[in-house]
Amino acid sequence: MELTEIHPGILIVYYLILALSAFLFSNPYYMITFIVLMLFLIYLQGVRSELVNVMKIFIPLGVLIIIINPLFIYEGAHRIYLWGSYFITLEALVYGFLMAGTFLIVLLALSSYNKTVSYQEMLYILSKKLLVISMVLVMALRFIPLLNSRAVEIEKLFKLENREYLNSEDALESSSENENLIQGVEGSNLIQGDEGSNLIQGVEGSNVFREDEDSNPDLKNGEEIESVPVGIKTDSKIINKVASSKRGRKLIEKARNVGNIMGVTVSWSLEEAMFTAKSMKARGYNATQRSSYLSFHLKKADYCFIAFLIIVLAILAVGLTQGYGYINVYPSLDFSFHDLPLNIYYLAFVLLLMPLIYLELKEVWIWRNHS
Amino acid sequence: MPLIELKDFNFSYASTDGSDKTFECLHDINLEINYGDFVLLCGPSGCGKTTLLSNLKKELIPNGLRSGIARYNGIGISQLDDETSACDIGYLFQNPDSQIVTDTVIQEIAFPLENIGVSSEEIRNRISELAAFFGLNDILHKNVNELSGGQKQLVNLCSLLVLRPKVLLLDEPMSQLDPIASYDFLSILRRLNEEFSITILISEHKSDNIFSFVDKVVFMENGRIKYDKNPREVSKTAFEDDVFKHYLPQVAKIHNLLGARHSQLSKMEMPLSIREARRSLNTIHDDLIKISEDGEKNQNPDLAHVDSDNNSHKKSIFSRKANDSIIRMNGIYFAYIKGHLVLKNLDFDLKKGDFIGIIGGNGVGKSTFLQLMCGLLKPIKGKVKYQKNLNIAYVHQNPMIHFSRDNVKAELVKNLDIDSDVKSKLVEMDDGDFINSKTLNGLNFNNLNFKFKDLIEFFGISHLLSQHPYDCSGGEQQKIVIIQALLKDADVLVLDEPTKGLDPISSLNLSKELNELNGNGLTIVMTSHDLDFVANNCRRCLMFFDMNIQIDSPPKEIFRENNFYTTFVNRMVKDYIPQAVTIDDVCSLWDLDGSSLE
Amino acid sequence: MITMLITSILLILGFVYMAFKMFENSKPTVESIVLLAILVAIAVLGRLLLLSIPGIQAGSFIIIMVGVVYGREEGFLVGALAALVGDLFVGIGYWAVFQMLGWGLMGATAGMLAERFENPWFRVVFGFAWGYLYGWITDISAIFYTGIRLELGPILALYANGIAYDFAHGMANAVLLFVFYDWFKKIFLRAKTKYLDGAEQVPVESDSIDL
Repeated sequence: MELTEIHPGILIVYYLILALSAFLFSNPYYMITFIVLMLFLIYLQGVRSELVNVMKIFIPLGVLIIIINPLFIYEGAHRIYLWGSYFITLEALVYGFLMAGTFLIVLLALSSYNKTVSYQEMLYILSKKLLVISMVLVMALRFIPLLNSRAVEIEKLFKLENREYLNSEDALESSSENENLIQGVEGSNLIQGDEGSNLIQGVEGSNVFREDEDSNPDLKNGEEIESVPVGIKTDSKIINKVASSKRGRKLIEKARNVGNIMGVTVSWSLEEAMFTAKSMKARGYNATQRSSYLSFHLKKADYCFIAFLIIVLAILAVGLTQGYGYINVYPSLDFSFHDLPLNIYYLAFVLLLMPLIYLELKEVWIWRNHS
Repeated sequence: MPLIELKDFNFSYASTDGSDKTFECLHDINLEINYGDFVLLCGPSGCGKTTLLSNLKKELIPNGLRSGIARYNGIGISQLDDETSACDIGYLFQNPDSQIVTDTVIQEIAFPLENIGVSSEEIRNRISELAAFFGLNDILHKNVNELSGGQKQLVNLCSLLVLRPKVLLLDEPMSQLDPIASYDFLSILRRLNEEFSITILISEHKSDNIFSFVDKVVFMENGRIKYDKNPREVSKTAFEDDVFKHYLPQVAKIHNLLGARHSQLSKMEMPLSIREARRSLNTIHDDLIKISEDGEKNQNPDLAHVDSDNNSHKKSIFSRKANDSIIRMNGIYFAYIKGHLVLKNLDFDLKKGDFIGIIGGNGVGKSTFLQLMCGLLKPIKGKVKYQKNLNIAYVHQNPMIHFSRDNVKAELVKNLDIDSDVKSKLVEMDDGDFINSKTLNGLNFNNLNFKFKDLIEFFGISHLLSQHPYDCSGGEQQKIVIIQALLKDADVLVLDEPTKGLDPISSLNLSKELNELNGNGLTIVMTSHDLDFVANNCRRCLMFFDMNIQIDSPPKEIFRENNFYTTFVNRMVKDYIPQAVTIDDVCSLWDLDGSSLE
Repeated sequence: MITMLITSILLILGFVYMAFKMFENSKPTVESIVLLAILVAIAVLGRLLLLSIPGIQAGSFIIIMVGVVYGREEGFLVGALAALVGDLFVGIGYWAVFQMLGWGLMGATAGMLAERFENPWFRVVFGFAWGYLYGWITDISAIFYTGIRLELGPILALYANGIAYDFAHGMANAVLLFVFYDWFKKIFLRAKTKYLDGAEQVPVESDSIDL
């Protein structure tokens, strides 16, 4: 949303209400409406890549939820006999699906939330209550990319150290190009991304050291691990014991490599951060009560939003007390696909989901007319 | 009344181990800085510059014993109230990265205003004003990681300026910047001083660009102020000083040398810029033309051989077989991102015994080239071939990155190919035994006629052995890393920006050390922005431009041909002796006695 | 179940909030604030570095080390904040609450048992055990989807599902703690004296000479 400003506090409350509604409204019509509208909202917000991440989390856990429910819960009136006397109940099965649906809605709402409310805004809200902690968070967010770029530099040095080791091995005599020199390092056709910069942008970007996995030919057996130069002295017996299995060995290589890189990064960064503290003091941190350069005041749009939410929520609350919007699964499933939910409560529910979609659509429309 | 006043000021650090012992650091400092002064503070690492600066900023006064008077605007510095001290006196550190505390530019600039509780309306007013003045609008909402070093330091400066300071204390603010960024930064400081009368106290090693517009130069040594004069006077008097003559701008040095022979020059005002220097040379124009012609006749026309004492080395190295390549790069292409080539169809041969300096503007691929050469990066097309068993050592521009142990002894032995029990015994020895230990002195090197003991002595680090490597100065850290590489019997020493942030004395030492090692047969490749260093030391120079090596020849040939991208000395004497690139060249061509500069 | 979920989230949030508030009320020095921030950043970096192999990360190791060297309060704070910051990077969710609890407790327990860490076998067991404990704590966020009330079966099933992941996590902890304990302890101790001890000293000043 570029063309509308809504107070981040109100947005946070709104998303909390959405998450809560995901649990309260278990009527399949409501849930399907919910999922469809959330997907539409995410589509409008242009976070389709986010959808992949949602699915990565949802599919394994969602399937598990659907399986676990009927497997362990035998309550319910409708038994489905699978073989012999073994049965599952329709109620548990349905409940599993409903829960998986709820889980999906929560995930979708969260990814939309992460797009709508920036972390600066979250920290602004947090700083109202926890001034120091929010400062710590801001600083940590600034340090992580810095530390990462340092780690990338250090990793390069490690590569070089390992390469020297490679060079001093006799095993490389085989490569006899012209004269007696030469050992070739051929360029692959892959474009190596600028690894340093993209670690932090999200889950996919964060496998910075992914190439270690296979392209570190210099670390192949236990002895060689011992000679990783910056490695710390260890009792090799124990390590070798664990290293006897292939999986364990790989794990140890990884852990060692990361440990070494982390160690240098950590001690270097702790040393440098002393200047950060000095610089903060020099600029008057801790001198008086802090203010913030961000300021959010409730404006007309915010009051409209609040009024709208109150009205819609009031209608929905009445609906819930009357039994609209949810279904009873236990002890006996009461739901019929013929009971179309077309009434004022359903309308209120749809309206509850609409404000952000409305604003996004309006924006699309404005931009289209503009050009 | 002076704005800043130090009278009989002494300071000694409290010892870190909790005992009552103290280390004296500043003695009898008497200094007056007036409103609107631009003061340059110079001195070797560890002379007390930083201690002096931090004693002028209440929040940064170190633990220790202070005596004497230290006043700002008539009030004792430690008695200033929090807000006055925070606002009036700004303090900038060396490393642009470590001062940034938030992740966007606007937040960073707002940070100090938030600290003193200014309203958000006022904060935005002040930022908008600065953004307009410095043209920050494009980067205001950027993440600080996307900025260059120069931009980061500018953001840090702005983050002080929003507080509307009266005084700026700057502790080597340009040491981590490249020449263009430092020049821009310096211009901004000059503007702040001239247009807003902000008082500036800056410590800095490179004097060539800065001397011409400072009001006062303060030279410090061992915690005492040795010279405190205006730049023209100090250029005359400090020329006799063994240490501080190295801190003078090149133009002043040459003027002093010439003045010994041409008495009319010594009566003239000391030149501090190339413009002034040319003007003063003009007064002895005819003499110089004559001397220059004589000088050229007496000289070997081959410029690579101007300094005679290095001749023997060079001959022996250049006379080696042509196929002495130890690294060969053929048709190298490289890109970080698809479609954005950094290097294109590059060929390069590294010969044994080379001493190569790599120069060129920012972002032309110098560091990328180094990393490709070392095998840290792989070319997307093309081949890098190495001599068998070639041992390459890489010294990062930040030596701290190499350290993982808590004392220098452990650092030195950590990469050695010896038993870990022996190593831990070595580390526990006292310094004397460590230096003389049989194991270490039994090491033999292919490229070095040194024993371990000689090496330590040669680099002069014996007093550091028990220290934590982080507690050593930048120059010392660099030495330790070089020794580490030598102990591993490196064939090729690759240095990325070794001259960055070095004071003139350390830089001189480095050049001696590298020359000695190269004479022993070690191959050296380095990048540098310090053209004087390259001209004085390297035998082969690569100038990068437009994704490739543009020029590959001895440095003096390159600088002789260049008009803009050349040394200060060359710019000064170009009209008379275009082939002179270093002070040594000038001395030999004009037959001056350069021994006083040794 | 929904009320249980909300209650548990609120309880944990209240607990974490109290811990944060206690830290704020202790009037921390600038140095200790910076130290906290950088330790959090280190832990998050450790967590993100190896995201490519499920379960393997160095974040837990860092948090345990922080607990051991800086004590249980700092361990809890760094753990809880690192979970929060890490989630700000990859997208925040309500599970962050359970991760905060898991990592916070990891750091706090390490702080409580700090003396015993000199024994390498204790470290290995501690690190390995926390691989599972952490998995179990964070899995609580999924339990509420598995039925109308808490039952052992679904919980065990969920835990069984995470067994390989938690194993990798525990192993990484154990290996790192075994191999790198001494080194990181030295690094953190140096930082501790530099940041915290120095700041507590009142500057020694000779009397009344300053003006």
